[in-house]
Amino acid sequence: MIEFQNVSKTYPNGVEALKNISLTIEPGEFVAIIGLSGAGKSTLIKLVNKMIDVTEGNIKVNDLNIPDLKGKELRQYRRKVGMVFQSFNLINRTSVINNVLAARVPDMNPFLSLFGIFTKSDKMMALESLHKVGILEKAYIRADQLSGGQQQRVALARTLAQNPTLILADEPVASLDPITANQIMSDFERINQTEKITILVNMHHVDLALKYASRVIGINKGEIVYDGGTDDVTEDILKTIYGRELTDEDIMFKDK
Amino acid sequence: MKTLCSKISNFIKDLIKRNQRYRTSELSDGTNITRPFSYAIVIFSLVLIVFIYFWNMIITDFFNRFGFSFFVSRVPNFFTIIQKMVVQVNWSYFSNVVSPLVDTIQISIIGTLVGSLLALPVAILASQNIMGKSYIPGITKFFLSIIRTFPTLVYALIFSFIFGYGTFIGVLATVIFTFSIVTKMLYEIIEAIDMGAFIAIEATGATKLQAFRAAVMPQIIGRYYSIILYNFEINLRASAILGFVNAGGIGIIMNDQMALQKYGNVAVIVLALLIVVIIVQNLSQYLRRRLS
Repeated sequence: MIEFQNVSKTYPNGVEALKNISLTIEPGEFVAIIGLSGAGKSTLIKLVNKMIDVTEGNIKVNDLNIPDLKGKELRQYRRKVGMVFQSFNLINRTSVINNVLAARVPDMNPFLSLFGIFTKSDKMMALESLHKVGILEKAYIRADQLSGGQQQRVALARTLAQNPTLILADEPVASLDPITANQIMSDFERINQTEKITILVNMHHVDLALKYASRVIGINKGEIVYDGGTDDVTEDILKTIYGRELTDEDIMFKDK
Repeated sequence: MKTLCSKISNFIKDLIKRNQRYRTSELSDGTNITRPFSYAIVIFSLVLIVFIYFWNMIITDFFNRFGFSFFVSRVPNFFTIIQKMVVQVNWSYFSNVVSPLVDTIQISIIGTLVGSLLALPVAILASQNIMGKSYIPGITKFFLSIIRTFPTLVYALIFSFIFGYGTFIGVLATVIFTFSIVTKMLYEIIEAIDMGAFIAIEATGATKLQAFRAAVMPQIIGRYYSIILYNFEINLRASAILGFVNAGGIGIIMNDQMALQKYGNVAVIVLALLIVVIIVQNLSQYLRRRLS
């Protein structure tokens, strides 16, 4: 369970990204956070695994106070939290399987990890993860030779190899074409349903969010303006979230 | 004096105004856009002034004092030595060259490998992007620049005062020199890498060292090998000088034979070193191309 308790975040340059946010996310939920660029979506996601620090308030994940974590405690907590980025953040110049294996490194014997030696069970787990996202046959190809969608799947497999209970995804489909974006989103949906992993995803595109998520949180200028089921979202609600009528840019499939 | 000052300041003001007009473009509807002032031209002018000043100090000064004809008359002396080397070449001396040459290669290999291995952890400490908000990179860089101040020869000289003479001195000097160059080249590469992968692996709960090993090493390993090979080349060539302070290797006999003016023997030494350097150069060029 994730609990935001009156969380505020102000960046050193004075930008107030989040203002007094409180919300609760139950295990197994698939939550999409939508809003304009600069609304505070990314900040909200990054606070959960302490990539950035809160200015005020508290975040609790399974009774752990996230702002207090540091050093070894923080690393142990992060083992259970997967992170997927807009720019994939793969290790180029090395094979797909090595990218997935990198997620096993923290649990390994430090001496073996220094020399890049992986056990049979680690390798099997990496291959299983690649199989779950359907790109097993690319395992021994260099990561930078794959297409954008394939790279994002490798990133997803890397996250699965961590065996997480929660996956955070920061604009995972924003740099992909509509068809690939749909495939990646359905990967998320499948992982959420079969592995029972909580998923917290940032989206810019309303239609994809409404199609795949079970709950939508709308953010506008650092404040939550909507929080509820996907089916209850109306045109008016979208107008409050975006502060204006939706444009073509906010929707990936123009015909909708 | 006052009028001169005001004249100069007026001149500079006028220059700035002209420059600003030059940087401004007026569009068809009357809007103005000004390109920001670039200091490149100022820096370039300063470098040019310094260059001309030093040129006058050294080159012009030399010709003023000794005359151009002196310079021309002395140039052929260089070729006299070369000529002696060619005419008096003493092939039988080659048997004396083999053992010091092997020493030289050994010094270079051990020195390069040890120096480069020591360089990797220190280069990590010196990289701001890996260490994050910390004073360690700044302090490390400061110490590295002190180490880099001295050339190999000075280290060899210092060590020969402490430990006497021999190949061990050569190895020590080569280790320190290689270390100082490789750390610098390496941290510059590390600071220029794509940080995305590093951040992603840190987010899986890895320590900085683990994330470096998993996400940064694959990005830099090829260039690291290439730096090591390049330093091996440099060290081989430097070995000729190392011998001048009795730090072992081929430089010792080269120094002796030069002092004895046995240019026929020097020719054989130079040729042997040249052949080794050319072989290593080609080999490392081939390897570096394969690696990158």
